[in-house]
Amino acid sequence: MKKGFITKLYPLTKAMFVGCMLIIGLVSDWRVGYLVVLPLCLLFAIIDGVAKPFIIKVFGALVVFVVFIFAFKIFLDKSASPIVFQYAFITIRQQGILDALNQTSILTILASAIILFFETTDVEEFMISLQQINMSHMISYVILSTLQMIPEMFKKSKIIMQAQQARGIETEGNLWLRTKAFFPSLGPLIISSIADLEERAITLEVRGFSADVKKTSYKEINKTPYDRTIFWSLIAATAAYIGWRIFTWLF
Amino acid sequence: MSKKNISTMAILLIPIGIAINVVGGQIALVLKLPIFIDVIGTILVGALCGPFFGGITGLATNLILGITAPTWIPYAIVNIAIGVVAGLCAKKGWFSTIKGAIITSVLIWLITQITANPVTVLVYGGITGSGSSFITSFLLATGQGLWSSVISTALITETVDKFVSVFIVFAILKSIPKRTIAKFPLGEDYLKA
Repeated sequence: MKKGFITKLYPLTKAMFVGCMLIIGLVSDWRVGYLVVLPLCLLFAIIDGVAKPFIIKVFGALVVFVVFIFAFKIFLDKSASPIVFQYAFITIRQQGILDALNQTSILTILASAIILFFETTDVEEFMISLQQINMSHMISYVILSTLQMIPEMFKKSKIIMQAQQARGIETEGNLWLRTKAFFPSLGPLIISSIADLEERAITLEVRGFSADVKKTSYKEINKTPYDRTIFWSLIAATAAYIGWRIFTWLF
Repeated sequence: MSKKNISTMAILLIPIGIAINVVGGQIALVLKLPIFIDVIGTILVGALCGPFFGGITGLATNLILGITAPTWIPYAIVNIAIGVVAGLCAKKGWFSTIKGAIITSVLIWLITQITANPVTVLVYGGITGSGSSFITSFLLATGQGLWSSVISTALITETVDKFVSVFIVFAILKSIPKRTIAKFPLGEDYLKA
């Protein structure tokens, strides 16, 4: 797999980017979110060749919220600002649109930055980089294990539901019947997973899971020459921006 | 088992709790049930391992869901609160009796309302992204303010599934083999019942 420039960057550098974008977004209005962060993330996605999944995911994440929030803000807009559009009983004023843009800006930043991050970063590498700054390996275990377990449990649940159906549990019909099917579908799933736990705990303990020593890693990730510059520039730029915002707010 | 191993069991339970949160919601969907069950795992971990692990399960669920749907991350605070409350109730032994389970349901329902509604209004401007937003917009159109519309919607949609979730956990706790349940931090409380 050919790796784009952004993908080759060290995970923590990219995480710093996400963090900085969020901080900047919290102190800015809609223009930063929509006119700076979103296009910037899109640009990075294009550079790395992940533009299509990026666009689909961001759109999917935001469309419901944006549509509803715009509708709400327009409904609630009782200001006297200029009318932008009028049709029958629908009156759209400038203030309503501005409110909606400001409200959705932080969600847009959240969605674009994080989706970009996970499109260009392997979760495993992210965990390794966190461990390198002394995050507990138990946290990375929990996260990686969950990501593996969710599809596994989902398959298990389908098997259990079919098994229960073979034993006469109705999964279709009126609401009461379907409700009765819920616990027999979920119960065995949970109980069998918990029963497996003990064995898993022993296996991990044998491998020194809770021993308080630094763990080595099979996979190695390296910093590119640009990581340091990018990392510190991000911090500097964010600090400068916040300083500027405070300055303009005070005077 | 030593204390260290009990913690390992608790840590291993977290991924299961998170997976249950995710899959439980899917099962409810497959069965076309009108409930939004996504905290069973959090409550279960809280009941078995205490408020700390319950809270972590809640947080981790939203962070992991956030990988594919970052727009849900702000709701993490609700999940965390539920996990903590469940753990505290379990420590008081309320998951062992029906009366206790009812008290727990009410408390969890209460904390959900207290944490979720502010997030819905402040971060999402009143939207929850699910069908309940239609109810909210209807209430808004009838002239109610944003806060009261959101709270009213939440009272209607978010009440039933919290009670159902607690009782499902209650039933599961009774079904786990005693041998296994003893290995969790709060396990011994359930052996007495």
